[in-house]
Amino acid sequence: MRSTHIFAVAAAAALISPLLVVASPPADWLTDGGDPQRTGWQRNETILNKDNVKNLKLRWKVKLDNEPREMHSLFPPMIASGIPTHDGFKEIAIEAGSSDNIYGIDTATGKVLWEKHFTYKAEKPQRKGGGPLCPAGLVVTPTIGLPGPEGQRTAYAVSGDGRMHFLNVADGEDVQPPADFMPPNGKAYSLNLWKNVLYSTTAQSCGGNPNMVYAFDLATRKMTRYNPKGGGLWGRSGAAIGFDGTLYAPTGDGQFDPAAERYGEAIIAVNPNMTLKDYYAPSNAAFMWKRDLDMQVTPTVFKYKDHEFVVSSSKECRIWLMDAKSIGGADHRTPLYRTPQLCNEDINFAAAGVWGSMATWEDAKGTRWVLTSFWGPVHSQFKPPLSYGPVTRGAVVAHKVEEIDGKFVLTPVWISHDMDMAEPPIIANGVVYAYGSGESNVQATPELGLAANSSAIRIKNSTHAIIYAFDGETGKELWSSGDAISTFVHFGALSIANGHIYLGAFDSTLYSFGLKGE
Amino acid sequence: MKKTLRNSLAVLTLLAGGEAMFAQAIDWPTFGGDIERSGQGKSEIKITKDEVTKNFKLLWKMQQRGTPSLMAPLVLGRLIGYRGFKELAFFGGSDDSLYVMDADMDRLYWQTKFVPPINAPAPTAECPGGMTAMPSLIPVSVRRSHPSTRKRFEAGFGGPRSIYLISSDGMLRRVNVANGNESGMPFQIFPANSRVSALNIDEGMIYATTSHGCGGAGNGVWGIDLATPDPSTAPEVTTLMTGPANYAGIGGPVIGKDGDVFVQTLDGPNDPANGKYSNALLALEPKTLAVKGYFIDSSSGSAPKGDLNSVTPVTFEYKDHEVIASVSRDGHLNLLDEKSLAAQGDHKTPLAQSPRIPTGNDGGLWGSLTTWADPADKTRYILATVWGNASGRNGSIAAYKLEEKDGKTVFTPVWTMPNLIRPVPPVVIGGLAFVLSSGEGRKNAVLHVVDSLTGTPVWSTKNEITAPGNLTPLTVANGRVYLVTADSTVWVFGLPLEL
Repeated sequence: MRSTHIFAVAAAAALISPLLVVASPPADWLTDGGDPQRTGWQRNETILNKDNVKNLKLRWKVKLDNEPREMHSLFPPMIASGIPTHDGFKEIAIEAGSSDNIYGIDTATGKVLWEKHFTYKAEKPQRKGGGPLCPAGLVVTPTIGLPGPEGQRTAYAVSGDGRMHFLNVADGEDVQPPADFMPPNGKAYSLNLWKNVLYSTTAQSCGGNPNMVYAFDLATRKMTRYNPKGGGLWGRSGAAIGFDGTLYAPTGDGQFDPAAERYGEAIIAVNPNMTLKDYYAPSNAAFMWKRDLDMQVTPTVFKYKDHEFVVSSSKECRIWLMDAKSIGGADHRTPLYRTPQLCNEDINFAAAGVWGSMATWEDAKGTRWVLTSFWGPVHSQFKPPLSYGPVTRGAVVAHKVEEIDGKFVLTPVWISHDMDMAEPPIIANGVVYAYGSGESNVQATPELGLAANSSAIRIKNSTHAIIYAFDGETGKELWSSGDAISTFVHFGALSIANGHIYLGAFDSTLYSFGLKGE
Repeated sequence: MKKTLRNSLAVLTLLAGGEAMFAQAIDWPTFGGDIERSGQGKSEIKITKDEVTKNFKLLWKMQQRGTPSLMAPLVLGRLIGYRGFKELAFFGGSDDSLYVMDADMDRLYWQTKFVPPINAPAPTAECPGGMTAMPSLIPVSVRRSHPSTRKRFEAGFGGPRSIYLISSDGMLRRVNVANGNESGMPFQIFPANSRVSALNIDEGMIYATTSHGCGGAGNGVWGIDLATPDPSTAPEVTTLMTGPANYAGIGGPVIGKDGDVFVQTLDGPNDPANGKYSNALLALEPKTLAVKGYFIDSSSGSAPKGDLNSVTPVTFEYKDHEVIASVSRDGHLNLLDEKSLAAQGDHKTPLAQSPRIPTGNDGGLWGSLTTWADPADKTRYILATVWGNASGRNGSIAAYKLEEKDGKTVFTPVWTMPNLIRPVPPVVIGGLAFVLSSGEGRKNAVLHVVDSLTGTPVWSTKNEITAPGNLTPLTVANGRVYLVTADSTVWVFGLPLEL
């Protein structure tokens, strides 16, 4: 009844609002990384470009009543436009918060349209004090489904008790009762949606839960899963999905022993029916395991020259280019191409290497770019043609895919200037956006050892995030947010939609940047 | 205990990977690999005969030209440090230096050097000066079996760890393995320029001996109690002076399963009633160093020249008994029951004694004993390092096993590996014995690998090593064998790990 009313009001608004008549598809951001392939590429952006990005400014910020858990606070907002509401069609940001909160925010004003708190309902009590890696609470970036016949959309979110929620983006109301999805107190990663099935991955064995790939069929409301029996699957954006529905996910530290069906320190390709399709483990996987160099970067999948490619990285700080047809070759140890180390010369397990996810885009000339961010100093032997000063805290690196003598390779083109813990970039209209999280990622000190990996210490030693815009072809800085963001970001991500950049920070403030005079 | 386990698991999940799924990492924390001085790599799983035959090779070598002599390394299988997960190898130098290598990467991780005492006397064969004591980490087995030790001195999994050493100025130094900084103040324990033996650590106590009167320190056993509540105050030190006799072997005090400390003395006047123990194997109470029992070697006076038949004993379990194997001054192997030693029987009758080990006219046994138990049938083996004479020519490794015959325990010879020059005590691991012929002069060192059950050759370095060894024992951990040559070069052979 309520929805009917909303659609009637919205339909009336549409008749009188010329602004809603759009010629190009909206540049929405419905899932982490912008699409199921986790490219980070906003293909439909028409407002921001290389010429005007220098005019970005803080549009609004909104402090939400979400209590951080350990170091987690806000997850990247999912943005959908054309949502029919009581007040007409709106572009709404679905913002998830670590304390089992979710918000619907009017992106035009920053006003909270609705908010909802998921009441914890599992038998096991909600865990407290799990450290930075096991904060419990809500840890999964939601995703937004396809529009209904009248423009209505459903946001899918997983609460800390492991239940899947189905919310009307317009008002936050349940469109279906919650369903059991995964065990409580786990550490799951961003939802991904493909052909009416939601996917996630889990890691860190948080809450005593095994590390697996999870699938939830929206038609049957049934969960299935696959256990690679290796390390945690903690690519921050969960699994990437290829063009045929294959899931690609990294497995963290663990034994790689295919004979025993153990696939740690690998990239696994999983069929939609939750069976193993393929796998790739680097030839030095044993060393990576020994040194805690986890395969933990969500891959990205793209097409180039009639081939489907997968790229990923790890804390070791190399990039692997893989053929989706056979990601590790016949021996499962041979990618198409392996870069030298970009960073992490000291072979550290923390505050160094690649963390998070990859990104890729194609420019107007047909050049395919692969982007990665990393933490810590650049490797002394990695010297791309274009660079912008010494890199000690992190940077974004751009490679282009080239076919040389019949072989596909990654050719380095540029490295950004120094960034304080550079985080995964996104791309729109030839502009690369990335941020330095300002987070203290030191997990061990000589005096404290691993006890230094406490949220209290790391929060105290963190600074604040800065967003940068770079020329996608040269890496030259075009804009920065300066001191606009007052706290750091832990395991967040950028969102970009319809001319606006979003980032949620530790103090539960969501920031939105847009053009001056908009 | 339950809480401790839970806390450890909680810390495990706090790692970047969050997984309690780490590759196995083995320490070689002290002389002989353990407090019993067994020379056995107990948990090593990577070295197999097949792997050695196919893949063993020189992995890296490091030379420290400025350091006169390097000690055998200690290995910390896994440090979770501020620069990452590292396997570290620690090399003490006679010039008060400490070099730490990233064992996987052939990279110097850190190094430090302590200031030697002013006016140090000229070195002699008996009093070489410099840092003489092989340092020690706290062995994992000790930390596991004694939670109190872990609580007081180590922070458990992922916590900071220390290496303990005695610099030539006689100071006890506790050095943070992560960065080489001293953890707290050093304390004067020994007179400067003392000849301090390899350290052994158990239950919060560091044990060592001093000998030869170097630096004015008499022949004694030292116990340093680390459990001082205030780390800024000097630790309590207990000393047992044992008379004019020096101590046997190269491994320092030996520690039994129940914490008893064992030392063996060499020739000299024997007057136990007045605290003079010569040609004796002493069992000492932990911490107090009170004499619990002793065994007098009745073969005294018949020792060959040099350091021969001066051998560090070894303790192990045999048929549900804690026993000690030692070497008599005339070259027999003795087997002693720890309890009867403590119960003070006639002080002269061993549980078993081997025939005199064949050594040649001027030969004898050297260094320390090695022991291992065949996991298949629990048969206990003892390997003796034999020198044909005082210069180490015509050396060999002699393998014996313990058997029961006619109701008595006997030493049965199993195999001998001849034609070695100045061999050092072997290390046994994965059914293989690693044997180093140190060479001498123009004869360079050769590392041999043989089947530990039969002595059958498996692999050797042939001519690859380009200098003679410096008589330091071997170290084996995580698929690698470390040896040191007289030109202050460390050679690391092993199974390659793709980086």
